[in-house]
Amino acid sequence: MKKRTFILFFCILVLATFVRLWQIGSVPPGLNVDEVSEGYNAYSILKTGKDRYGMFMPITFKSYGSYQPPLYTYLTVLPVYIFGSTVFAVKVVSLISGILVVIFTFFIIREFLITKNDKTSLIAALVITISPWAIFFSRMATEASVSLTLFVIGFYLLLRSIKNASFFVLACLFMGVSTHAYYSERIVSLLFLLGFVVVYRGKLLSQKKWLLWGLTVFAITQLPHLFILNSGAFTRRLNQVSYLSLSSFEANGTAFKDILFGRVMFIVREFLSQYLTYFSPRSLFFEPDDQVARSIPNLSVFHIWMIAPWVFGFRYLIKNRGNFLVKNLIILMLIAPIPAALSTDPFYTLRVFVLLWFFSIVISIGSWQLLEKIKSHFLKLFVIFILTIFSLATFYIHYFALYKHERGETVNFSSTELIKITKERADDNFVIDLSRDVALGIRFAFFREYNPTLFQSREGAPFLDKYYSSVEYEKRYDMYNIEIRPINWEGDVYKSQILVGDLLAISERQVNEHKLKLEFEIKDLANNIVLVGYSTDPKAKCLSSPISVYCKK
Amino acid sequence: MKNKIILSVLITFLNFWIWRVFGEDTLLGVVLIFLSISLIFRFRILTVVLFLVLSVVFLKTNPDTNLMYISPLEKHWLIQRHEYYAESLGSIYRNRAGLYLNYELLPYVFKYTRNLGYNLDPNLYFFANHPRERGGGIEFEKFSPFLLPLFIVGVLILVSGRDKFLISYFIAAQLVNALAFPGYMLGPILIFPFITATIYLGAIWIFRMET
Repeated sequence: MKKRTFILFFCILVLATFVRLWQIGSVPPGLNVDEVSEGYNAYSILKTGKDRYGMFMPITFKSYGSYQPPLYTYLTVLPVYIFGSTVFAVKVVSLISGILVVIFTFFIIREFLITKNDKTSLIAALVITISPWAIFFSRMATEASVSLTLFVIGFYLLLRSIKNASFFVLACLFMGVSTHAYYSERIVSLLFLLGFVVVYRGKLLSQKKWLLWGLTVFAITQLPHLFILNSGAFTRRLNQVSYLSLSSFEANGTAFKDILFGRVMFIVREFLSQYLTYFSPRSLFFEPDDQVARSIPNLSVFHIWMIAPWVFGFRYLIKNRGNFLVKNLIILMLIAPIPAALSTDPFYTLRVFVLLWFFSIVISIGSWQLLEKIKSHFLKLFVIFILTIFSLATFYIHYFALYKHERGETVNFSSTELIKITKERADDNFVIDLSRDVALGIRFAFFREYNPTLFQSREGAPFLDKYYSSVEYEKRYDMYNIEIRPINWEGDVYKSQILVGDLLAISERQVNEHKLKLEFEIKDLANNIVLVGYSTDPKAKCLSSPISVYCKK
Repeated sequence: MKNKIILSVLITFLNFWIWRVFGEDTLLGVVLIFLSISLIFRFRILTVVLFLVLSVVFLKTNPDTNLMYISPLEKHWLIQRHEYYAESLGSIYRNRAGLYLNYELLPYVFKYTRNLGYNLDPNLYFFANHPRERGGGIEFEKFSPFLLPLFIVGVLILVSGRDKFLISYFIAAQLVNALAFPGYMLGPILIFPFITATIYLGAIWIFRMET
């Protein structure tokens, strides 16, 4: 590598690290339900070797009626050990994954693109560095970030295996392990590996030993999946999100009900429309993901200006479709949207990380093609500089100004504030009625480092027997000075404690009727009151209704 | 040539969209047919003239009045965002340029790009906008999904080639369509000729009719 290339690459890596790391502990201002589940399970594994339900080293982690792929949680054990139960500790794996993707993208383009051009590989690293989807999800603890990194490393090793077959074994290992990181890779990694073997069977069969070793390694990585194949846990998520079931057809396929092969036609139409939407400029450049928790206000997965290089990148791919890398990228493009296209959600970003990575490469190639049209070297650098600054400024405005304030509650900022209050007021007892934060109990357990052995025996034990087959989960918690459950208005108001809930849980009429006194209000970052805490006054309550059994006691 | 003419007529007529246009406005349907045929066979001057006429009529009758109007709710959002920007950006925002961007420019740019995005969605034309249906819009299937492979091949030919006229038409049509009301009952009609021309491009490649 030339010295100049190395320096530029190093600068891009510094930039990539900076934009992913800056204020990561406070923006977003908390952890979402999945992140906090991963965090506490990692803490529980660290302390006891078991998850919060008491299952020893689970193949997949039971979580709120579904299951989480295990790799992220296991990888988080070390950061939790080093940094404690903090927001940063939970996100650090995703952060490192995001930076690794930048590094491996650089090397893939540098070694395999037809030009073997350092400029294109630097642009590719830069495009990944500044793409909204890549920054956003590196700052969030997402299993998909890890799976993308493993897939990209596996992809790189697969390409290298054509020249040196021994890399095939390592590539299969990475591809196999990526299936334990996120659901989509169970399909994408398997199909891509199969596609690669079929397309390059001539070369791979000439090195039968490595081919067999590689496939054996991949098969071994799939053994854990076989153990839970029929338990319900393996297919739980697919059943939750897909339209393949009869009930989904009956609910949504009205137009096809009276047609011959109606259900098949319904499934084909759903699949094609879902598949197509992942190639739609509207989804990629103009509109954010519909899920507010996983998208930035008014900012799509790519910047609008990237649409031009995207088109020019495709132009390059079509013209150079015989190139080794391009051929593999095209196979990848066709496979990558399949898992997402099998689900009902319109444009679900997390499920198409591999496709977004592919599009980033297309945009890089297109950018390089367009920049080549500029003769002046100085002007080229100026354009790159301006676009980088514009992209980062746009991201800053939408993420650090808007997302932080408008979407703070998607990571339950108010619950995190409540945890601080309960810790400060250790002498008070709290009854918290907050059904909209399904992870509230786990949130308390994680941030206050609740003893996992106690949690396993009290909250987790009832669900251990049918760990992989039952979707039931705990909804009431009792730890420290906190009870998390619906408020019992007949009994709770006669005990001295603080009742906490949102504005729907405690009405003004109830405040007056039960002689409650306002103790605190918690506002979200948009300055709206989200949670309120009222202390009870048993004496005053008994004076107003002395016939209550609680007063006689 | 005879086969090509038959093919172009078939593509132009065998879709749900043109019959819906005919159902509402026969004259508009006739103009669209002429525009499509002239675009398919690259009658440049006729295409430009028809496009200009249709654009003017389309924008006169269906302008998106929301583009230049800020509703009370949107105003409320702007004021709220003003607080967030001021807190997060400090003096970079709290100056004339920053305030101008927030109140006078970006809301309108955002609305325009949103319209642009709506019309750039292939699902709008082949799957009645499924799975991202618009609230309040009248969604109908404009082309049969069976024509989608031809359209994709046409787009690939277009992207790889240098058909500047068709690409220019597409860009112009999108820019004008985005100024029109997105909920218009007949959809972004200016793009109809482009889609038929692209399907035609794909069809002549697939059926090996290109000389």
